[in-house]
Amino acid sequence: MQFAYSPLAWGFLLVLVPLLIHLINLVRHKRTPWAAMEFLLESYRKNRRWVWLKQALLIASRMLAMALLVGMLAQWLTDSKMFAWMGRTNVHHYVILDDSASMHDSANNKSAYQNALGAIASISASAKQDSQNHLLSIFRTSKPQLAARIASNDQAPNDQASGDPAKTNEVRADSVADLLAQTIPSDPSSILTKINSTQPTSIETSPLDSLDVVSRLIQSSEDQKSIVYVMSDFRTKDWSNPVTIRQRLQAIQSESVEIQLIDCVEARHENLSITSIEPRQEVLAAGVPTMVNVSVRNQGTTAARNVSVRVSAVDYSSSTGEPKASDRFSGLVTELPPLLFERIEPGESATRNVQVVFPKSGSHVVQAELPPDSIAPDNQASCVLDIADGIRVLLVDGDAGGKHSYFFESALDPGGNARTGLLIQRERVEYLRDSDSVALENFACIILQSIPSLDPRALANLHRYVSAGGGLAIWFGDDISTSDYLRGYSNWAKPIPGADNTLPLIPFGLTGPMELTKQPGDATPDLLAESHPIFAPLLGLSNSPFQFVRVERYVGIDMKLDTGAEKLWKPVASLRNRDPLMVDYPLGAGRVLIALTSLDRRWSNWPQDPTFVVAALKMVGYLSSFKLPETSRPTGTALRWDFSAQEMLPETRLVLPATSARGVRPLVQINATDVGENSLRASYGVGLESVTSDAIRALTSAGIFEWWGNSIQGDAKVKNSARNTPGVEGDTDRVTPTDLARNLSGVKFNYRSALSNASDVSLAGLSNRNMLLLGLLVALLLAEQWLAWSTSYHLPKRS
Amino acid sequence: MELRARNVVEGFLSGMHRSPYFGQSVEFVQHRQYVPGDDLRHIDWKVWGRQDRLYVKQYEEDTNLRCTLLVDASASMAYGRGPLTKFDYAATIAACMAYMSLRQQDSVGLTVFDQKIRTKLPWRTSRSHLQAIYKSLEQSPVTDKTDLTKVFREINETYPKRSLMIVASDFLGSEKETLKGLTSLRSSGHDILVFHIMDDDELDFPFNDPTRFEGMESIDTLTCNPRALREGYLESLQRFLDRVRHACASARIDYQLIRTSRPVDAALSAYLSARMAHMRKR
Repeated sequence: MQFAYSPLAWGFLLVLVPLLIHLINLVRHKRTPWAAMEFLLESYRKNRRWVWLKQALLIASRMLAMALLVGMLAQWLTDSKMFAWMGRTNVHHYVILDDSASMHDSANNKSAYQNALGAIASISASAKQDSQNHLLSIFRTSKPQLAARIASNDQAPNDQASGDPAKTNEVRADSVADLLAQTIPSDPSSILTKINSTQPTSIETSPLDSLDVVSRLIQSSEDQKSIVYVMSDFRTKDWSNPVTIRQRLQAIQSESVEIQLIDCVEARHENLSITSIEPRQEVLAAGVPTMVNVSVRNQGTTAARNVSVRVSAVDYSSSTGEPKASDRFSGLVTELPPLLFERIEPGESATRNVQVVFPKSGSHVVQAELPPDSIAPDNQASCVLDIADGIRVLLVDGDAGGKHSYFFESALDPGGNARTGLLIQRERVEYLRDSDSVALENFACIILQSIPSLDPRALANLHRYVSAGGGLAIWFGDDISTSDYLRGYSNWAKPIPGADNTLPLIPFGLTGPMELTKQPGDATPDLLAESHPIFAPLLGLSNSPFQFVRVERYVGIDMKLDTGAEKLWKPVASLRNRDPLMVDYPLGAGRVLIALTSLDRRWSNWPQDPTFVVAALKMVGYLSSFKLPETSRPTGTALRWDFSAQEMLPETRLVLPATSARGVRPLVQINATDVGENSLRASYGVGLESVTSDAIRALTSAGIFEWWGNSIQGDAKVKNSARNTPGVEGDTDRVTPTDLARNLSGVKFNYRSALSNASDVSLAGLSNRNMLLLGLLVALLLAEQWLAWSTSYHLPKRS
Repeated sequence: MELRARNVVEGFLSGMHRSPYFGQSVEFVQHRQYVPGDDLRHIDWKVWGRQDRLYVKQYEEDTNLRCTLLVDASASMAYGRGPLTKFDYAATIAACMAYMSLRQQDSVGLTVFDQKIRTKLPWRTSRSHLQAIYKSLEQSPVTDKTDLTKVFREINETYPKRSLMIVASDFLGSEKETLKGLTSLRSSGHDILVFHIMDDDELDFPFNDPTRFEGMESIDTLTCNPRALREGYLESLQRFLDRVRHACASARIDYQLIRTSRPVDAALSAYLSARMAHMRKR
């Protein structure tokens, strides 16, 4: 048996008072000698049973009245259907509070989130005017969503729309609720203090996971009136086709469940968002100028003019080795020239780039910031540039003298003042056999030239290297005989024994060298480039840049060979006769780029053409890009830092973004765990044990997360991670109530603005039960009075 | 007792001024100024003719009236929460009647009884006998039960001559035997006056609080809420009173129920007036 005011339940001891008074009266009787005992005894014998019965009924009625009175004061709560008609009914208010980044939308210094908090306060105040017992549960959409993601170990950044209910099965309501079944007291502000101190997050959220949690709570609590409030800004991106949300709401709705959609935004406001910030090129090396693209989208309804974006470069190479929690960044901040966007049309994006140069290696940061507007989180975005001293490229030449490597070495590392950031290392083919996978992983990409055959061990090493994200380029040459093509390379087109990935290293068989015949008068270039990153700078020109490229010989492919990967490759460049010249083949996390020709002049003159240098650099960049760390990720994704146990100590510190503009950044001590193969992993917000308020608050923040560790030698090392607010959160387009009603057809709901009077909350029909209880008490007291009168407790007036 | 009886009777006589036995003698005693209520037959018209004032003549009566006072002194007569217990009230009535009777030269006897006769004084007419009656009444203890059957049988034997018997009791004994005894006395030719003395508490039962009632003539006790039993008690009591009244009326016994709260003179006046009117009718 539960009571809203449990301490008052001790008042049930008062039911013994009538009995005690009766007993005391019997003990405290007077003694009177009496002459007419005969008549008294006759009356007693005649009325004994009836008197006793009425006396017992009288005492019982008084005890029951006392119990009813105490029950009313203590507010007896019951879920039993038997007592539902007479007990005080619970009205459970489930508030699903959208705390996505778009809820920052402000007007008149009041955000949509603050409007939602005001609506909660109004609902609580209105509820207390009703005589029922009102319970309040509040779920911010970010917490169940992140908890569900963490519980399922799903690190995908934007999969909240998947709507898989199984993901939330392990999410406990008490761990994600800001308030859970809290009785609304006479002063509701006492329980709203905590929620009123919260702020919207910087992530993209959906109410789906919260609806799942609420649905389970409603199912587990029968015989109570439930009101589910969805407080949101109802953006078009979320509510224009809310199939999954509609299904969830339909599952929740019933006779005892009322659904209220509360719009927290007054009107659509103008807003600009930084939708992306990323380096233009893949090769990031110390001292090499890096172009960083900044894209800004106009999310409003009118054109934006003369938008100035502040850009800062944060150099961590000169840091003192200690995190500076009191500063915005631990690194050295340099203001770069602002980017100017002259005009951005509504709904359009514009991109400008800024050049940054970091002279030393390190995990550096570039941050862009828009002027303040209605939605603040999307005005700032960062990217992390992990600058290395140089990008290592392995050239494996079939010729012992390295004659095939000349052109690549010249193109990738010309020397002089021209810095490409590439560090070329040329090795013989045995190197592939004798090296382990760790040694190969130090290279951003590997280029094979005129390799007649490979040892199975070397083949397996290459296969493992590419599958792990490495890039491999294969060029042919005169050192390869026809039998090598037919027999030796056939092993390349077969699955590698013992490898996890059953795909071969090349997706087809080779038939051997072929001559490209010339047709007189045919002006078609020998090399026809497809739309591919390595040719991106060369495409879009009015004349083909490859018109002077001549291809004499090439290697034919055997399409009949069943490799299991026939449909996976695509041509990057073709010959005049439409035979493939360069092929891009994905293998695992990496790529294999197969050039079906040689750089030898008897095969092609392309190395002597200027386009080769561009294509070579882009090829290296392209092949290196699959191992590059992400420069930024959306907010809400887990934080990890993997490093070698042979180089770093497991103790790390993580500096989180400050929760306020001038606040001190929180610092968390994290010990890395062993993940095998001499690797350690420091993680934050991963695993069920990490579903804490601090972790969720950190994961929902945007900004730079600084990981700090120490090498075995004692040197400090910093690794930054950037988390940016998804650009879609800045989209201020909203659905109209009419559209919402159409999109949620089949769902019975009330729609109102958070700024309207909360008394619209339908609580009618709920107070009658309490009145019934009061009526029962009155009836009982009347019966008690009748019984008292009946047992002559009130003497008639003497005439 | 003497003072009480004198006060009652003097006041009573000054109000009543008439005895049912005045005027039965031929020897004139004195004149007395007429007061309303005196028998017109006794007005001395000669005096009125001479002095224009009304006087009545009083005669010395030579009577043969024998009055026997039977007073119940059982334990139940000791009850009374007012100034007088039932016994005190009964004794006062008996003393008053003795005083009046002896003043009228009637012979008066007294019997005080409970379950047996405790005191018995023979008929006398002397004034000194009155003192003996007073003393007997004052010194009679109120104990033991009431057993009127045995008492009335013994009285029948003790007073064989017809007399006026005045019984003052609460009759809280064996109802059947009580009525049988009264009837037997009546059948022996006695003229019987019954003063049924009851306390207000017994007639109204005004108890409110839980009370332990302890029998005065029995060992019965009852702890109860008196308000719950009041109605039944009063019904039972009323039936008892009706039966006694009906039995007395059947046996032509003058019956008077008297509350102890009622002043004795008023009770006697009302009773004797009614009896005088009754005698005139006869």
